Amino acid sequence: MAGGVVEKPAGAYGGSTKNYLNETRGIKNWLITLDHKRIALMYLVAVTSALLLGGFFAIALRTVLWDGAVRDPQDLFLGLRIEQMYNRYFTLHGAVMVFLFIIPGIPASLGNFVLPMQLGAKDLALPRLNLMSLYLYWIGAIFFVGVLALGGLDTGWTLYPPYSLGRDTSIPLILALSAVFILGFSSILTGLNFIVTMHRLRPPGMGMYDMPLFLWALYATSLIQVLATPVIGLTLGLSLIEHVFHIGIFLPEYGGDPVLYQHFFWFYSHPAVYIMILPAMGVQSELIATFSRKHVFGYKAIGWSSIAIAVIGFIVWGHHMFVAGQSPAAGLIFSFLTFFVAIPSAIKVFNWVATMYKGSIELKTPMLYGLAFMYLFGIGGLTGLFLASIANNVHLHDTYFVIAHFHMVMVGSTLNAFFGGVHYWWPKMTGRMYNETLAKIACLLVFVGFNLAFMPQFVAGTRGMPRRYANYSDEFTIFHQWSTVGAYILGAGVLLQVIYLTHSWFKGARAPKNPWGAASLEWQSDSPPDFHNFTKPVVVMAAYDYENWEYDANTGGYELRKEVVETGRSIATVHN
Amino acid sequence: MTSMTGLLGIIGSLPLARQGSFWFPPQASSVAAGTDLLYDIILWLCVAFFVAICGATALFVVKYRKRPGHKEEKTATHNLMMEVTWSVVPLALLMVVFGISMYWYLEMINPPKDEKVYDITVRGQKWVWSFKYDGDPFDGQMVTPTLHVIKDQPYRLVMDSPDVIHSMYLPAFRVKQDCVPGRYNKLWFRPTMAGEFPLYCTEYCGDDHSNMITTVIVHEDANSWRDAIIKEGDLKNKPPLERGQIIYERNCKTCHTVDGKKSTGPSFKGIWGKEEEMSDGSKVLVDEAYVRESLNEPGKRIVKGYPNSMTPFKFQDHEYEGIFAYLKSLKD
Amino acid sequence: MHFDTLHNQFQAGKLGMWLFLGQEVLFFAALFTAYAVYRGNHTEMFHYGQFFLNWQMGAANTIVLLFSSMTAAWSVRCAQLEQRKGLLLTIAVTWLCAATFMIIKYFEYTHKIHVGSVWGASFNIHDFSELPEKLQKLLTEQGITTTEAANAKLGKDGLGLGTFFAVYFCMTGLHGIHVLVGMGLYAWLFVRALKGSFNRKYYGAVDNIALYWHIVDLIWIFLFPLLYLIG
Repeated sequence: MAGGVVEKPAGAYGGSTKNYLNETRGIKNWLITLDHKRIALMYLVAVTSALLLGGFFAIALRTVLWDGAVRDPQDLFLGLRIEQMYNRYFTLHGAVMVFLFIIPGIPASLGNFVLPMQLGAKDLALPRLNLMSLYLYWIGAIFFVGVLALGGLDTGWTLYPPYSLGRDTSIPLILALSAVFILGFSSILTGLNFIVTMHRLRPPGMGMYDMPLFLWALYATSLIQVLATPVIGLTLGLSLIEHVFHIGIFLPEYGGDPVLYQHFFWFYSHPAVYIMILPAMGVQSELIATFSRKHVFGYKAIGWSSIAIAVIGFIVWGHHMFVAGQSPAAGLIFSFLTFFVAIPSAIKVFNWVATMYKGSIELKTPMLYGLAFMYLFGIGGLTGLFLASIANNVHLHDTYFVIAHFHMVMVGSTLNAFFGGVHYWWPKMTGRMYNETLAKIACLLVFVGFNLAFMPQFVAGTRGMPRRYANYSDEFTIFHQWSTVGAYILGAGVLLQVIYLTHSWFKGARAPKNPWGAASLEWQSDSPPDFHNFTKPVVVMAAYDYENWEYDANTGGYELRKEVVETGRSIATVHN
Repeated sequence: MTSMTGLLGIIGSLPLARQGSFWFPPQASSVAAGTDLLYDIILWLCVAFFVAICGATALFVVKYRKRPGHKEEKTATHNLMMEVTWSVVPLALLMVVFGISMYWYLEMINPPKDEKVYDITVRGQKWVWSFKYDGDPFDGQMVTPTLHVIKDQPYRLVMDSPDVIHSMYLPAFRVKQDCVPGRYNKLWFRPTMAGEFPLYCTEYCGDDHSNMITTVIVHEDANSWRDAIIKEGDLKNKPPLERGQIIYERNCKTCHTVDGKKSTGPSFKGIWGKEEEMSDGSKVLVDEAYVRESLNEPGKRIVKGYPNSMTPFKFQDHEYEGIFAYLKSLKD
Repeated sequence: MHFDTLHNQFQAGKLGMWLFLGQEVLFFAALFTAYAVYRGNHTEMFHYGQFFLNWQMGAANTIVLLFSSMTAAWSVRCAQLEQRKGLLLTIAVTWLCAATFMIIKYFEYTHKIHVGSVWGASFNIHDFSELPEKLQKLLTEQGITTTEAANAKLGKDGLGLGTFFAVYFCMTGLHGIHVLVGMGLYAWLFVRALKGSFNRKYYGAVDNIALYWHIVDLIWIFLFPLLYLIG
């Protein structure tokens, strides 16, 4: 329980009992809402469902991998050979997780909710566009459900031709290509909306350098979304036409070039991994600063390193094709450039550590995720160096080492930060607190499960275990079995989260306005916020001016100091 | 855990660990020891940074934890010197790493110029490997399903694929290269240890991707190498039926049974001389002409009820002869 | 209304449009890259492919689009000055130019389909005598005079012109789709202008759609020489 919260009727913490959740009722009012908070909440439910679906496939494929023996071809499951089934599992696991969960995950759900409020604004700049993004997401998701219903797909989420496109016309493949195309536009429109909002709706008195770092991260993310996503849109559009009409762009049989597809694909999909990690880094900046009660160290360095990562991210895609037959000179250049991504990432980590120095560190659940992030991103980021080094990459390419590396970053860091962010903003979004003890247990399960699942895979990889294998030789059994146990524990942690968060939604204690003492503007609204976000004029202040807030034992949360409310100005003395 | 495994990892670069270490399979090629050492260097750099970051985090969490009587202190919100230092020092270290990596990469891609390099053509196709020995003495006349090489000899491999992308991976040699349809990729290596090592496909290629495994056999001397290739690759001197059976075992078995059971493709039991219905509704007699056609252009006419997923084969006349003989033998 | 001023809202719309155009450029950039890659790898294929394209039609389309870009810019001026008749006229002319472009494109496409010079697997010349005259001459010089021989030379097992036409149809097709979208937008603008929705303070839609139209025009300015002119 957060600081001994006392059960009080809603409204006790901020005036009106009306809020964005109960302003209007009925499904129709939710479906046509232009309110960014409702849209964010619908996104949150949708991406969480996608996470559970993708997680289900993860558990399924880890179960198949418990035992690596070569299967009897007659050994069927649901009418398919075990290998064929496994190929569908890993394809759908990858596709659902990447396109439906991680890419939209943090920006569309948490970002959508928080971004306008951190600017003290009423909504995003283009609310209709925001609703359209949500609908495009749903259409994409429904298409994926269609893929599932029609028997799945076994192309791998990367959809490399000729394997993916060169076969008999397949409806699931057409659906999947269209789905990613549509989801791409959802992503582009969200990014576009975010950039416009950050430029046009900042309140007077808030410069770019006064914004919370979460917004800098979202800005960098949005830049990538707007500039990289069209390339994959076009690529998959061409793939679709190629698959149906055999036009000869990517299929060698008709004169096309399959490696060109890989270049196009990774021109988007490499920046896309920064679409996944940058928002997570933004959440991390908020968590570390808030729970250390310290102004973030090296604000500008963290902010600009987000932009640097976004920019460098555009020129390193070739490291996915080190062994595909691109020229050795190109390989060396891409290897060289890839090392540069390490620097802005390292700068962020060092700054987070420095932020904690001489702080007052409170180990609430979100902070636990923040600390886990340091550890997991540390491993995920550093193992990237082995892969950036081209001489080692040749050996490690397409092995379990790569799997472990990108799961450390995409799941270890992004999913972890998503959980951290959800726990951090949950009281604001729902107006309820969750059970802190259960939350800490879940965090521990996720952390332990995660390490158990992926640490052994590094070793399996260096020893030569190729990825996407349904069978493997006995020497790898031990690594796979640890990994499978880890996956189950991780799954249990996630299920526990779903349970206590659902309970909190209905039965949780009422949340105070600002349970953590955070200083960004969204915490000046009620929990949950009013339909118009703020009922009182917002006191514009820089994101890390914690001394404007003081603890109030009556509400169990923090309140703005009297002098701040009276003067309408920040009393903080520290500026960037 | 990382530092513990790191301790074991350093052993990987010592000569006594040539047979394999905690991290790596045996070092069986001329580049393996070098790239493993590079791996160790990066590993120790990572361990140092990781311990520093996590150590500082843990220390701060304990030392500055929220507790009665403890209050946060205002400290500088930035420090240019410090920030420049922790950007420039890692960058410099990484440039050193890149330099070493470049050295070994150039070793990996440039075959020796002052030595005779033996040429082998590698073909990866769903879901078998075949190796054709182009240099003296075989001049392209021998094809084997396992790769035979001689210790301390350099080899250049030209690789292609007639269907989808595959990738040839030799963990013990630390080399890998994709077989891309429509282009020829090249790879060279020099084995330095006699023995048998696994050879994997590492580019996802469909149902039997994980069964597309063979072996590379490193021979001590040229004689045992030549004998092994002849034993495996010379089918001409065998009777047609046996020839056909060997070809079946090597290339067709994954998708076609001989006991009448349905698999990826139709069973060969009793297929010879049968009239099969095609996917377009026409009827075709399974004879020499059709078998040859469906080997060369499998997508042209597909037996009804089966996917169009077979990889094309090109054989020599004596091999077709063997295949026909074998299929005929399965008539009843 | 969550913007403090109308000006701010106008600026937000405009920034949004610029970002959208940014993604449009990247969208086409991938196709231009494909073009460059195939041109670099198959110079001869492009040399032969060019014979099939009618540069006069391409030039006519270029002029039509350039003119429409001018009327589009003019329509913004009319909206700012509240010249209702001028606004309606410029919008209508822009729409008509777009339609003319599509009609010319229609003739180009149908002719190619008639000859059989189409994408990838479907590339198959129906009749030698229907080939462009210059190409017929060139092929005859090489001793190629029959339809079969021409297909062998130009088709999948020869130069692979199917890939050239894949690039041609994808690039011009995607551009054509953008022209069609532009026609839809101008039709909508016309209706709103008829209703008198725009004034000197509120003309964001006219401005943004004109921006969109300029980028469509600009892309064609690149497509025309790359496909029709460089031999």
